[in-house]
Amino acid sequence: MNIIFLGTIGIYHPVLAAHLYLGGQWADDHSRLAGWGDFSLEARGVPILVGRDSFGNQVYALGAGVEVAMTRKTIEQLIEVLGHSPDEVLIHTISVGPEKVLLFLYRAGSVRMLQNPINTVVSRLLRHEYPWLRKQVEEFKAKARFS
Amino acid sequence: MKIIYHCFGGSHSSVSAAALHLGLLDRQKIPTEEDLVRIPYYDKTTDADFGTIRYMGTDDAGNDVYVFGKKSFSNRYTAVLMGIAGILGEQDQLVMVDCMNRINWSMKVGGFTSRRLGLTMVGRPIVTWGTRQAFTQLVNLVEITRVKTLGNNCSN
Repeated sequence: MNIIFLGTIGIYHPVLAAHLYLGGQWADDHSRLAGWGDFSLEARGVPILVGRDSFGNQVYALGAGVEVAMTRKTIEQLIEVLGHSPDEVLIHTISVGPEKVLLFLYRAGSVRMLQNPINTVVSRLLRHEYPWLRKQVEEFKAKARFS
Repeated sequence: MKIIYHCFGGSHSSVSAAALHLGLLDRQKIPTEEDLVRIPYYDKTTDADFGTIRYMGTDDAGNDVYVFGKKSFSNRYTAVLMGIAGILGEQDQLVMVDCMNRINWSMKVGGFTSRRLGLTMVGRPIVTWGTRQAFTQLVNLVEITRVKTLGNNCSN
């Protein structure tokens, strides 16, 4: 089975949620987390493989910009169109408070020299969101019965 | 294989291309407004249809043909959906065809007026005129797609 944490910018809170799901802890330096702050990965648009859980499920992060709900709907339909069971890909939407700020910062990151400072700012912004991210991941685990 | 034609609203260019692919429109003859309006989903979608993959039919090679509207998501949406197909091991079974580069201003203005503003009486004649202008472009896109899928079907 595959698990996708879906959010506005895949390389930020969805990547963090995926790491939390995989048993990671909050650290102020996220630069070593697979996929974190990698603008080229986000630009490609493909799901970012973050790791594999103890059940052998592949865990991904995916960014959908402002169209998170529409993207989720399309992905769920595509899975059926391709003749697969919806259980093969579990999608969990991850949200944070400063979504619009993250979108703005991500766009500003088109200037390459700003990418590292932007990642630092986002890391600080998301520190305040940690309890909420943790809660969303725990809810997902409970729903998916992976405790 | 699954072939998905996509455009902004999933209502005009993608639907016309899918209709051409399925033989619902004659490739040799520019369609009339009546021919276009007879196509399922042509200029009939609502905002709720954005992101909805809709089945149009099965072509003579057995490929299922779908359409959908992705708003202004550009190529990113193709990457997302091909990525999902890759996760499922079905990348070779999915062909995404972007119709946005085959449309003209009349289709944009007419489509917006008809679907987003709800002024069908005003927008439909403009968008059908635009579709007729873009017809040879759409035929070309469909021919390229059919050749591509023919190659894939042969190799599978």
